[in-house]
Amino acid sequence: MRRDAARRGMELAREIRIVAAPAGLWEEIEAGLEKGRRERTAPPPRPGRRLVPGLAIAAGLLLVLLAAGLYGILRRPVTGWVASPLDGAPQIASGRLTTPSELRVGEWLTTDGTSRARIALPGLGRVEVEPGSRVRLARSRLTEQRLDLERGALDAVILAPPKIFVVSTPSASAVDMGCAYRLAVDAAGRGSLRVTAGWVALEKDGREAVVPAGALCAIRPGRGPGIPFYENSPSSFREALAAIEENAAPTEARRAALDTVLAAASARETLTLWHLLRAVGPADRGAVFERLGALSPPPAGVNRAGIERLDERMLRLWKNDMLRVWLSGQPRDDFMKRWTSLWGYLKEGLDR
Amino acid sequence: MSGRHIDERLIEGCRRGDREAFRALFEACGDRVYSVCLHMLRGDEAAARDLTQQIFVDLFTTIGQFRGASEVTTWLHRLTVNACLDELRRRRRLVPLEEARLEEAPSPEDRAAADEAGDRARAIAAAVSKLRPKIRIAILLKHVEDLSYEEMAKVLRCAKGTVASRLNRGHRILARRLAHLRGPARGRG
Repeated sequence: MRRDAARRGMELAREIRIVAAPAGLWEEIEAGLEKGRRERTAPPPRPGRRLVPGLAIAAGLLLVLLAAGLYGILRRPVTGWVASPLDGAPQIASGRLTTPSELRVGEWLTTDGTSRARIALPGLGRVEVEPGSRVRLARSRLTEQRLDLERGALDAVILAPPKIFVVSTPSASAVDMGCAYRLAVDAAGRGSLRVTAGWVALEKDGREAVVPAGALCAIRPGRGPGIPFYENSPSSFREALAAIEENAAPTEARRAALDTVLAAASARETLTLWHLLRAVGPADRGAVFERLGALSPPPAGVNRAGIERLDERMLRLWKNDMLRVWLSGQPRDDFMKRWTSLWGYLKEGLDR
Repeated sequence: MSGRHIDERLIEGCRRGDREAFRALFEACGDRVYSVCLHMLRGDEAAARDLTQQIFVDLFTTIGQFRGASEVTTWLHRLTVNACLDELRRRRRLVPLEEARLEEAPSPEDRAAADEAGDRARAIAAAVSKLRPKIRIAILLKHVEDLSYEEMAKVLRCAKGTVASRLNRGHRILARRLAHLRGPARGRG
């Protein structure tokens, strides 16, 4: 019955009329193109009238005072991190952690092969420190909460607004963008980031990898973040990507692996292709641009030449255009959610 | 639209800024783009005309970034979809009750008017215009632009299964709303 209805509907839809574009439309388009050309070549508009100087100076001073006051509040140290034992006998500073205790800035928390601990800050979220880990509270301010993970693994669930909570490892820093994730690193600085909700920016020396939920990104000593990929991507895709990451030199094998990655990529793998733009040499960048453009056409203001020379603004524009695809299936980060998380974090922080 | 009188030479001409090539590309695609806009905007000819103009100006301004006919046509479809959905969103803010009427069945007066006029095409257009925007655009990309499921998934940025489900739903709604139409289909107008 339903199939018959669908078939009948399809037959009717085939009768949808194609209407000829009205006469004169082409001339209007030509006029629009000409207008756009003139606007692009026109000199910049003249500046408007200046503010009355006295009023401008007074307003400026007031703004400086307000900014200084706000800066002082936001930069003041925040206390309230609490470490609690979960299993075994974790160590805090120089003593054994047996009951919930404050973790101060600069103090280390260490777990052996059988112990686990939780550290939490009200309004920010919680971090579970897995066995064999060494973690330090490096900084605690309203605008920045930073942990150093020297080795081991941690699971973080963060409720605070984006960009406040950061975990540094010897090889890269994970900047929370509103998410839950697992970060692991060994003593040599080799590790991985696996995100389960939201997304994380993995950074090192100006290089950034975007790692959304469902994706995994390797961390390599001396090289920072690797190329993120979805764990449910086709196995041929993941294997070829691993070959690219292992062979830095432009060999035949690397080229073949790149061809495999490009051929196997679908809309979600634009995540990996966007990061590949930086990882491949100029000779291969055009091929990556073409495949990425076919899967997700570049937005206005982004062009091939700019991408080939790794123009930061164009790369960012394109990335922002694709973020919603990479984050599809995630809870929506709406205004109320942001406001609630910011308010909860500030309220807890200012109360302390 | 894909491949209809569009070859690599034509695209290369457009990339070089050749106005004759632009015109040829418009002649190859303009009617279908205008038709999609017209159906999406429920027969508002002035708005469809403005939207088509904007889409082609945007296309010709950015065409230098694309290589090959398939990339350009994908980009044109995406511009069309975005422009139509943006315009509908803008209208929804201005006239909040308009969308609420989308899922209503055709009124007896509508049906009688369509029957009376004997205008099958108008009845179909009216039924299409009452589909929800996401379903409507899928139906139009399939039956006006003649896109494959894969092309539609790329343009709409969703899975092929989602495309299939929207089309199936749209076809069933059309069958239900146009149950009063009988007889063989005529050729396209």
